Amino acid sequence: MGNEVKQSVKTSEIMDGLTKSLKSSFLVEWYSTLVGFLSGSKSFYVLLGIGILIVYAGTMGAFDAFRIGYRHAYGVTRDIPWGILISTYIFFVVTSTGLCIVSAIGHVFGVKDFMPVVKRAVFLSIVTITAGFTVIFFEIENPIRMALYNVISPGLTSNIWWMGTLYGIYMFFMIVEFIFILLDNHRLATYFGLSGLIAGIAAHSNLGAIFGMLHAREYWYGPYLPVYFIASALMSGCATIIFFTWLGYKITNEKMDRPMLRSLEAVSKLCMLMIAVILFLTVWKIITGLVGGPDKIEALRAMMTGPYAFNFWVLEMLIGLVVPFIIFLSSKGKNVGMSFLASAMMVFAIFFMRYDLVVIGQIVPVYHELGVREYAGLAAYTPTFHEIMVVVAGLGITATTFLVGEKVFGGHKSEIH
Amino acid sequence: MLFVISGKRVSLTESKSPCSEAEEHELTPLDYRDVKTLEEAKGKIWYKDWIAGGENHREENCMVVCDRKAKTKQWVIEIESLEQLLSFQSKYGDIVISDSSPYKEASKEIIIQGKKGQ
Amino acid sequence: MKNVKIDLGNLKKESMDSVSPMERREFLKIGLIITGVFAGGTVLSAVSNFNSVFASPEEAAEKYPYKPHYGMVIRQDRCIDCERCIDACTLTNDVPSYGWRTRILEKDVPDATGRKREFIPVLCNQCNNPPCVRACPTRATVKDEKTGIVLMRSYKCIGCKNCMLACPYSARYFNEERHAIDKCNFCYDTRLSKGEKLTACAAACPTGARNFGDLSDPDSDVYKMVHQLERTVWVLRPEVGAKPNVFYTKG
Repeated sequence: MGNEVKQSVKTSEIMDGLTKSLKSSFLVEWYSTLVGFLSGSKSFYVLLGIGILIVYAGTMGAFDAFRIGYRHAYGVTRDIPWGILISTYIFFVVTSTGLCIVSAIGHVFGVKDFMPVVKRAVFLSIVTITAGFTVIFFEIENPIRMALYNVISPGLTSNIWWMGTLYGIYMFFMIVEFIFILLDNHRLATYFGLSGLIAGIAAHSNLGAIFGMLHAREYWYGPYLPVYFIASALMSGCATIIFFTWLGYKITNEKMDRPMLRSLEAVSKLCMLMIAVILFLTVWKIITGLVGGPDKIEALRAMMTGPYAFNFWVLEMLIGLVVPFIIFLSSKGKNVGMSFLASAMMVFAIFFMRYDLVVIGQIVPVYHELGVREYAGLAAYTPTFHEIMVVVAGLGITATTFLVGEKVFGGHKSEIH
Repeated sequence: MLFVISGKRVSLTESKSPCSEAEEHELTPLDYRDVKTLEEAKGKIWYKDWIAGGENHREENCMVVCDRKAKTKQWVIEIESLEQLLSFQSKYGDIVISDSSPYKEASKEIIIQGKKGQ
Repeated sequence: MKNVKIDLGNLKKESMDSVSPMERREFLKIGLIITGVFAGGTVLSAVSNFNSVFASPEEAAEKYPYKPHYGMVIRQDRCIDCERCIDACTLTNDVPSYGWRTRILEKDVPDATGRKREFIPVLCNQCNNPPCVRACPTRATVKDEKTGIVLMRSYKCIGCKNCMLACPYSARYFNEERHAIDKCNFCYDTRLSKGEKLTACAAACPTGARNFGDLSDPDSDVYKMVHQLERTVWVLRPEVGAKPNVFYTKG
């Protein structure tokens, strides 16, 4: 017992020390200049201009890829047909679904502590799903056919069909909800929020099931992924709303009032819980996998000791889960700056979490177990310049629309109490 | 003293009073911005909106602040004495007294924790 | 080891040949198939032949759901990797250089006597329970109701590549020229529908490694090859449960 107390005292001491040293160092000066930069009238428009340029450059890169053909432009192969664009799409829609769930805790279920973040969360869920759709537009080989045949020739057994259709419906509901929030009609906004939540969760579990129902791919197959995706969405949503709320307040320079601080504290705590859930799921995924078939073991070995070990241990586990968990735990979610730091780390790392999930599931070739020469090794994938440009376009859209949103909607000040 | 009053949950389908004593008032939100002087505020992206959206702009506690023109409707309760507060607590169970969103007319909020406050 | 003398002349072969057809027949009657022989022929390794011989249990009663039910039997040890099948396929079906509809895989088999390598031709297995068809969001790939061949409706393909991942046999690739996923369709459009009886690869095979025909016809060669009692017949990746229609055997 005594030891434990000592331990926790030590951790909080370290955190205090860290905060203090951060406050006193030149880093803070640099940092506060940077933060001051966000709200400056001229610098805001400079940032916005840079954002638009990034979107432009990214989109040009994407259209260039379209022109020269995706087979030449993208790094995906017959063995690894899904690369960074699919993982980025997942990154965006997971975030969107998570933001929708976070907003629904407040705006559908009426939990007061979640109310102050609702408006921004709904807005950003629309932004991130738009970014996701943009990325998938440049991933799908024939997006025009998709629009047509999704409607006139639906494949009802296909998770992709359900995912795409439900996400379309979801996006519609979220937009209508946002409009009603702006019109201050919270009654209707709530109904659309609930509809959006149901569509979003159904769509998102189908996204997990796209992978979970591929029985040719042992690494993904099973009911694990639909469940994991929902839990992961909530974790992403919490991290993202903390991240963007903090940035938003730096743009408008508003003082965070007590209800907002309480709200971020509640979101931080939920985030911490979801990190624990994801850690738990990850641990059991690995342990069950290690007694599974050889293909699964091969993939897990690549993840833990092979070419993806850095991604897994440093990015996913350390930066994505363990360190943010420790930060949340020691600051108890009461220190907004610390929560921002943790959430920024998470948002960064979650991107790689999705990448690893998508790529590692494909590195073991289907004929690997047959023991033939052609498929003796693991398949490799490296994103190309064009793929990265599409990702940049998606990130640019999110950043730019966020900036515009903060300006146009005046810091998403919520009138609901 | 005027308190904003609320419960842990909010009904979004109707404007429900959190307790029978509460009245709905129009309150003036104070719009604090985290810059030290009005001069500094001039260079900020929010400056025009802030000026247009409020009145009585001033510097206060190393911050600038104004009274927003757009009022918000809030459930409030007038509590004059400690006895009144205690009897309120006896009636509604656990309550938390906290800072509210800053208003010209009120700065504290009573949050009823239990089910009695809807 | 120096002093051990092996009487090669009198050594009993531990191979499948040492099991008599009668013995096999007895095993088959109870639903087992002999897969190996150990300890001088006294210990037989037997597995259920239910799933490996028949595409699914329902068809165990020597029934195949399609008419004609096209299938291929590959006599693996006859393949010499001459790749004439691949050339014929490429020519017949306009397969681009970056893709393949059929391919020959190479396996090192150090234990096999006299042979160091085995060649395993692979192609679309035209599964009875095709994972790719289930995965397609626009029904751009379908199981032909008559022949059981998994066909592409290229004009509907959106290029999401879900079917490529769903396929347990890597039988699919994205064809730029068609703007759609392309795969082996047993030369349905290029040969079968024009009255030919064989696929291009089967017709080009000089050693009889690739045998194509109607599995629902008990008089066909492929039917006999699958339902013979002399040799083991297997399919690739049976654990996936796709019920493939390409069978492998030796001898």
